[in-house]
Amino acid sequence: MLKIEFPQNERNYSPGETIGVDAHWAFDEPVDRVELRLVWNTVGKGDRDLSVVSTWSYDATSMNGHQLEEVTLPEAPYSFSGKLLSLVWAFELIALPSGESTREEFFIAPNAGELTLHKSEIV
Amino acid sequence: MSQFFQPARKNPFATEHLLSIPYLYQDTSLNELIERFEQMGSRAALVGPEGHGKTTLQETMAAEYERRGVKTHWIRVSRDTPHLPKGIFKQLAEQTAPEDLILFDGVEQISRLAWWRFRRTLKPGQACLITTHTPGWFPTLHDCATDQMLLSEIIARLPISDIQIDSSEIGEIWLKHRGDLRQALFELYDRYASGEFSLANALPLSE
Repeated sequence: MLKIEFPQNERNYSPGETIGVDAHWAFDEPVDRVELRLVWNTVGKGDRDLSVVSTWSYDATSMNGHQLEEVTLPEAPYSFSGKLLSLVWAFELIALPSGESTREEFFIAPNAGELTLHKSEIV
Repeated sequence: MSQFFQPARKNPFATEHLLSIPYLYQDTSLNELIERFEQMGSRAALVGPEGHGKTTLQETMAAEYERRGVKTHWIRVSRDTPHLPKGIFKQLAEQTAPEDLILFDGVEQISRLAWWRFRRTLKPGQACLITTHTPGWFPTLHDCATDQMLLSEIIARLPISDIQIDSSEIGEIWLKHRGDLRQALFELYDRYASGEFSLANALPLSE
């Protein structure tokens, strides 16, 4: 079992904000290590871009554990969505070498939310 | 007037959802293809027009070989980048082993002379799986084909909960794109994004 929690139960953050991220794991069999990754990726039509911004690695000496990280979020890029492309921020928690993983998405943008790229229709 | 906006991240036809669907075999299986590939001396071609699943099948076979401990090397050539990467023959000669698998996607884009040089660079016994629009480069391992049912099956595997597309519409889209599933799925993406389907959970933006 892999689980990521935001202690403040919040998903909308400002650029540069410092937040808490709680990584939990419980396995039936030993794993080499567990990695928490801060990533952004694009979603939409066409090729997918992905960037791993930060990685925290834990030697999983115990099959059950958790780690609370204090993370200062990057200033950019902002979370945004248009019809063709979205930029999505996420924390990913991955067990190695099995590759079992989980992911929690959130927004980074001024005014804490997602920027929408949308052309309004004038009626 | 109400206007709807569906963010790309909520579009079920987004690339990330399509990539999560495994290659769907129609009249064969992965093991059967690998067995036949090896019977053919491990040099063969996956043949078919654009958008018919050649690269997806090639990637699936490569992943299976990697799972079996075989090292793989990729060469990708497309209409946008129709030339072999600089220094590729030197790299193949110096950085690959006879037991490695060479994967060449888009062979038909290169000249016959470049193909001849490529073949000469392969080491004796080195496995090579290519994709091409036209037969005649290596013996054909598999002709990649699509049909309306395949497009329906792909759509059925996407996380679609808010729209229904009837089979006649799927058939029309498949026919319109002459079996090119990539283009058919791009059209479905655009139609979903523009709210052409009934979007139960689209976000109202303005009234």
